[in-house]
Amino acid sequence: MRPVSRLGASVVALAAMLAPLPGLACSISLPASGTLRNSMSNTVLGSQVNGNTPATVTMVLPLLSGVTITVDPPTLAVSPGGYNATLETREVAYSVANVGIFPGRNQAYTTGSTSFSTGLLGAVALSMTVHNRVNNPNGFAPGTYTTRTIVTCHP
Amino acid sequence: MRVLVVATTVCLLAGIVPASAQSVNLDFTGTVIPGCTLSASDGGTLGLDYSTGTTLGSEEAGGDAAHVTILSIGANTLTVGAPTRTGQAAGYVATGEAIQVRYTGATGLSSINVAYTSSQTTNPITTIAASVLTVHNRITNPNGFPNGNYSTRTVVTCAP
Repeated sequence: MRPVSRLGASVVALAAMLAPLPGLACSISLPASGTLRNSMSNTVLGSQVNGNTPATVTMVLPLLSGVTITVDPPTLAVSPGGYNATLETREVAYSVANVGIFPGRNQAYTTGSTSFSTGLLGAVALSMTVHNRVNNPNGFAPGTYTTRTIVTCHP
Repeated sequence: MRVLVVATTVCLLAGIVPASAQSVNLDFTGTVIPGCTLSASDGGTLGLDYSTGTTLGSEEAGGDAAHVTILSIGANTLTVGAPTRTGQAAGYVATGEAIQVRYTGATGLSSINVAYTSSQTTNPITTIAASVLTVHNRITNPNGFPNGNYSTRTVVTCAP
């Protein structure tokens, strides 16, 4: 009975060291926010208009844990007075480079929520490049605008 | 006891622990600068009303309007100046002539529609996408128009 208990205790200790901790299931960091510019016709405000200034985010996945990553459509968090949002549409596009057996992911501009699974990977860091744009045939009143996209990593 | 130890071990090895989802807000910020620009303008053409011989204008046969594209961001004033005659045929008698302008807007300027006038006119405008203003000119003269070339000019400006 005593040898079995020692073996069990050893296995438990080993498992505790290898097992992912609850708070570290998927770690997200934000190296850089994006920048928006308006088009010559003033009907598009986006991070790929007259330049290329995306937001970037890095997700660190724990050992052998597949996760699902969800990217929500952008919201307009800040807009100036006098802005007429009646006809606006907000879109997000993103890309994730391939790492190991993960083939990468490219999402064209969409107004909807999208998600993808990474599959079971080794401990890797995935880098995501995200673009936002707002379309409005009424144009954009002068002032500061901020769009927000929420990226979620589900275990 | 053995069963409990083995079950705990399997769960830990399988990573069956209550891990939570992690989210981050990605913000994009930009500033739109106020201003007004005029672009893509093209001149018009004057045609003669051969039924009376007293009107030379862009809405007569053979005539064509001028166009200018206007982009306004914020509050601006669109001013259309009084037209002037900048060229005429030899022997032209200007006494009694009237030089007039008429213009209409499209898209963001669709509320603008000014009838023929000899005066400068102004229009307050706000934020619009690039929109076209169509401008007509005409000269009326009871003395008629000797053969030759004629030209008129209308100055369009947009400013805060």
